[in-house]
Amino acid sequence: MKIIKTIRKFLIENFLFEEDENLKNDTSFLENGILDSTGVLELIAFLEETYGIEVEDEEVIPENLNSIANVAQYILKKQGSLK
Amino acid sequence: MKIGLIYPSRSRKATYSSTNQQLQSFFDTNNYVPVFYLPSLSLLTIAACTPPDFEVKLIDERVTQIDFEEHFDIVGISIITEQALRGYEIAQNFRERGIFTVMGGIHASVLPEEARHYCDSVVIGEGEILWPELLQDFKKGVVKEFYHNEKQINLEQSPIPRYDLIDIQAYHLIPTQTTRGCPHDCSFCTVTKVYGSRFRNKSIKQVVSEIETIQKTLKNRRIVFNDDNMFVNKKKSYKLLEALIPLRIRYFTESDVAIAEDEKLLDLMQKSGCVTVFIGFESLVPENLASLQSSKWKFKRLKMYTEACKKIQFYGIQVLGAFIIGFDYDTNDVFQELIDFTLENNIMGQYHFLTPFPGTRIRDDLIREGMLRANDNRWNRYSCFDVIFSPKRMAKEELEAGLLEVYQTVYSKEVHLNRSRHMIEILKQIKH
Repeated sequence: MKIIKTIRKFLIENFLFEEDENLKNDTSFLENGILDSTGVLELIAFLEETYGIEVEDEEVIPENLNSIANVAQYILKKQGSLK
Repeated sequence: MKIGLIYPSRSRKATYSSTNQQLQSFFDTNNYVPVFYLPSLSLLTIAACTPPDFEVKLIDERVTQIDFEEHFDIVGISIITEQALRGYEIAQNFRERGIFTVMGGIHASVLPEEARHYCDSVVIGEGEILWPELLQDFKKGVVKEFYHNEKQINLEQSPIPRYDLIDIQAYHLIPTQTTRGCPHDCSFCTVTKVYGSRFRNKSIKQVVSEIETIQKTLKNRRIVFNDDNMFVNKKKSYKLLEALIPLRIRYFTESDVAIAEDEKLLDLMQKSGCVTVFIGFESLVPENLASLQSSKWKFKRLKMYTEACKKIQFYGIQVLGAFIIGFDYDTNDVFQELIDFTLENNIMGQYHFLTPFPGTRIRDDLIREGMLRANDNRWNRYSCFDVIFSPKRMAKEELEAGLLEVYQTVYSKEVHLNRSRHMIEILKQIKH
């Protein structure tokens, strides 16, 4: 899926800095120290810019932003609700 | 021979601890106060200065229990003031079992006679040269009670810390250091007394090697530069930051507010991965700032605080401002002023009570003025979140209630979300 590829690329370019085989689609960003608190903000800025969405305050929760799969699902849901 | 290097803990919640139950309860339950869990860089460095014929075990009591039955030939304990009483307990416990105990760190360096009462030998000041000397003497059976640096060490000779000793699961940030010292000599701070007023740099090659070692050993790229004031020497800072860019790290560091006057530096900070900068604003009350240093350096910069926050954030770098409460000119208005400043500038804040650490001018002044007992040694309370003395214009209860109110407001969910949104909008602009 293109969204998964895009998010993965963003994470590697900005946080991991190299391909990491341990980064699975369901790997927890927080439990594995992939994103720090500023990193979460950078991820939100990236999602808003890339997908033209606005991440609402109440949507900043692990269920939406804590893994590649969560983020992809969240983006699809947001895009669906925009249509 | 086996050495145990121990970092004592007053409590397991080491970043913020207070004997005030309401404050402690807030720190224990709030999700938005920034928390930094780091291994002790001092002990990692001391471990690196240990000759290879000694086996070294690092014990951080914040993350693991001490086994007092474990065999060591030497136990070395590093203490800052808040850890002193626990450090003394640990030293005595090992000493009773006939194990040779050594203490060092800022508190032992400032009060060596006190520390010596609980251990066999005290290392006063920087340990890079003294520690190997002590170990040589130990092998010969001629250890001295005190080891004292005659002069500051050349930082370029400081070895790469033993990052291989770290339990990586226990920490989320890894410390390293590029400089030691600070030119400001503030009245509440021990840095100048312990490290001297001369500002010293590691070589760029050395810093790069240390970071590459962290990356190889720990597979970690989240660094804290444990400097007292990292960018004092601007020309060297440019070169260092340029060298950091290809390393692709994300880092937290500490500086004075002067970085905001230098856009080239801010640009390089951003490009080299600076995420957050800790800045000692200290106070918003001019009279307080004027009393900190004879040079009045911070007082002269008070008027640029707001603009400085804006400039630094413009580069996508978060500001964590440090503020001290309890100076002579602080009144009950100080709490609302701090809240307003923090919210208006969308920064994070660390707010402390003025704490008269041994070795500081402020301690001498308070004792002279009869506001603090000369023999006050309630070191467990020297956490910066306990009131040690009542300042001139406020009572202890006012201070405690005020500090709690500041934290509750600044780290409420609503303010956290506003601050986050502010940074998100800046980060979006940067991408353009």
